[in-house]
Amino acid sequence: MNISQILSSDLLFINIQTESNHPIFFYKGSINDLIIAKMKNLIDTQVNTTHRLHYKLRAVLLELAQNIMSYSSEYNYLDTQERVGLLALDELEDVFIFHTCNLVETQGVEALRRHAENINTRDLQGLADLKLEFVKDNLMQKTKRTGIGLIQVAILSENGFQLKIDPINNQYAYLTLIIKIFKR
Amino acid sequence: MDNLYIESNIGVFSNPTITLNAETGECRIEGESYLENAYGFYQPVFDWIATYTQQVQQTLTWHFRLSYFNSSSEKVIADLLMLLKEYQSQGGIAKINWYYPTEIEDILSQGEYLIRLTELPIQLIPYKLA
Repeated sequence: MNISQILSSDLLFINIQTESNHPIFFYKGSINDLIIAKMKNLIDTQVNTTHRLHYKLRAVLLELAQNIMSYSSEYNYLDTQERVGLLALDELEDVFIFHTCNLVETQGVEALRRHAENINTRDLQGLADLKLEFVKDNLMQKTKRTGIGLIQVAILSENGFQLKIDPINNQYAYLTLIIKIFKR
Repeated sequence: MDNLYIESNIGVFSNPTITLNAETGECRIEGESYLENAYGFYQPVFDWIATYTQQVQQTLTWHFRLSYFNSSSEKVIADLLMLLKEYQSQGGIAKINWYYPTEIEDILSQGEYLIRLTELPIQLIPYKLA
């Protein structure tokens, strides 16, 4: 996507309303190792919770960040090429909420929507079955991406995820994922 | 045959400590495994297993004690277990222990999932977090 395309879209003006006034973090820009380290550190230092929830938060963060780093269609070009996205974590009384947004190509949107629907209609056992199918099909194939990141996010959240796709133009859409992790 | 030792590195993408002992057959993978290129990191482990199962062919005992790991690492661990399964099918002995903190059921679930996936008799061993 070139600069004039970006400027002609609403992309620069899309924002996310967090539900609390003080999210644990809210970041929009290049996703790189340093940024993820800061987010991980904020979870470690700002979130006072159980081992169980702490594990879930860190694990979901890493899956979501890796999703953006692998699949976002928007890049920053400085000395290296870095993919761009939005990552936010909010804490309310009974729930943690992750928001993630990034640009995707419209040609992959329908497959993604079907994949999400397939995931969100399953219970935990069904999700384990789905993950098994995906991994079995790819065993001993040394691919860098496994394709099970979103399934793993749904397993960890125990609550699926919300997916929203806002078309920008014929070529690109803006993908938003919302993941809730209840404190129960 | 040489032992393999890889020290842990805790950062954004963290790797676990890996200790593979060719004399005793004791193999340990411990710590965090959050890797962007998990196959790149674990390749020496695959190579070590391939050499061991050709040259040494004694009992292997694997201890997986992972405190955090991402889906890319999980996929590689599944492949590693499949290699051990192949060793078993050729007459080798491979015992596998999967340690999980009692406070984090997700790690227990991952162990149960790996049993389903590989159909290996993996021992699930609980421990308490400090």
